[in-house]
Amino acid sequence: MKILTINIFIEVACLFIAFLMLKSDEKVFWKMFIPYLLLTCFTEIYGRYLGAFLRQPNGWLYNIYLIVEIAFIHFILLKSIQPFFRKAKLFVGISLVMISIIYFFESEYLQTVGFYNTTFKLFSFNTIVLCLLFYYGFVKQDNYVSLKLYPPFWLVAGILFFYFGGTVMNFIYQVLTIEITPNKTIRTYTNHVLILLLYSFWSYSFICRHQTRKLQPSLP
Amino acid sequence: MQTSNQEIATIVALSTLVFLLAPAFLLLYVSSYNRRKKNHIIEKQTLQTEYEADLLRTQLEVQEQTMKTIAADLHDNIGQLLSLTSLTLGSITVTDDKAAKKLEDSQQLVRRSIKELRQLANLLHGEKIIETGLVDAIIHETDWLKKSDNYRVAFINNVEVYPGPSKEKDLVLFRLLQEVINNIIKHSSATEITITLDRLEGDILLSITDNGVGFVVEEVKGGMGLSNLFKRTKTIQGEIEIVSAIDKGTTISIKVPYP
Repeated sequence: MKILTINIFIEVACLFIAFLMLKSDEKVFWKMFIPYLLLTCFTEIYGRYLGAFLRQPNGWLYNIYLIVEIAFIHFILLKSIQPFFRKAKLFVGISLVMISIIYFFESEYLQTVGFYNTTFKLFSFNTIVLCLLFYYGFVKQDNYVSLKLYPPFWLVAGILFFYFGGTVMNFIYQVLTIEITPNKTIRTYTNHVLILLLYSFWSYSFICRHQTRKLQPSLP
Repeated sequence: MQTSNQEIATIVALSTLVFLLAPAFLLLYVSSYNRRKKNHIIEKQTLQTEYEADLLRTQLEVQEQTMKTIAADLHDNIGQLLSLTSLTLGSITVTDDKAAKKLEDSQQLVRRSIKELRQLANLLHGEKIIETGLVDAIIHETDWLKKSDNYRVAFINNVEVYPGPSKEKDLVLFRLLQEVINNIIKHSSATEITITLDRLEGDILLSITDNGVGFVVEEVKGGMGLSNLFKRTKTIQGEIEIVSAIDKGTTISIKVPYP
């Protein structure tokens, strides 16, 4: 049994690209992708080690990671939406409050064993809404922006695909647990596709950001 | 059971594909809308440029018409008055030698005024100036300048066989020359002006050089005077280059496809 799954491989590849493209970026926002992806890779590797090798529950690890994921994704969406909406902080704030309440409810009140699915479902739904808000703001603006030099477009695209796909998968969860190859369920394969989409778009956005900085050194 | 699982897997795969089509189409729509925005902006800029060019052409036409009217008025009205004055002076009989000399001098001054007025009217009347070609028009202008005795003016014509003619371009080139000379008189404190006309493949190159105080081109480029020169040159698909430095004089070169 391998510790490095396809998902981990994709995440490590994205981390490598992030390091190459963003290590000398002046903006803290972009530099933060490197430690975030590093944490993601560590969580995945350790989670796999706990679950597949030591046969121990690893839900607690992903629940802790979920806090970081929620915060970081909301941070990305806030920075992306802010140029279009003055009330961006309010929208993102409301989403975070809603998710925090459910997270607290699941952990303290329900004392859920395993992964906090309800929190994740709400988080996915809110993320989709914020992504659609971004695209609405983008289309609404008067000025033209070249997509090749606009990294937020690709960041949000990756997030939209991943969480939209993830939300749909949650609705048909029972079907997804069916094994189609030894030790691999349908869910495994759909997860590969969604992870690939997310990190491919993110990698492209990092390359985009790097190109933009090279062409326009004075860009904020 | 295996087949059933495979069928389910196929259904799920297809369903995933269908569901992922939704965000994919959203991104395609946003991308397409963004491209249309770009085309709209380019089209708007093109229309704006065309409008400005049309406006400038109309302004120039109005200017020419106004100068034509002034030239006609000068020639017809004031010219007539001076002619009558000359006739009236000519009809006076004086016996006194001193008075006769003064009368003769007055008649000469009036005749000179009529001649100068005719030349001025000709310079103002655009179509008349370039009737015999750009080269003759430039010679006229340099003759007019030399009269003031403030400038040493040289015109070097390197165009052996003058192509065309293109009356519209000739007139615009001549007006540009007049504007440049005007600027030299107003700002440069120059004493020498050299005008050169060259032929370069399909283009005509008109250069005006002076030995004046010069200026920093970038500082003055945004001003109305130079801006007018650039805009006028553009109306005949020409290019203008200004080379100048403080205390080193100025050279303005206008290259125009001709005819």
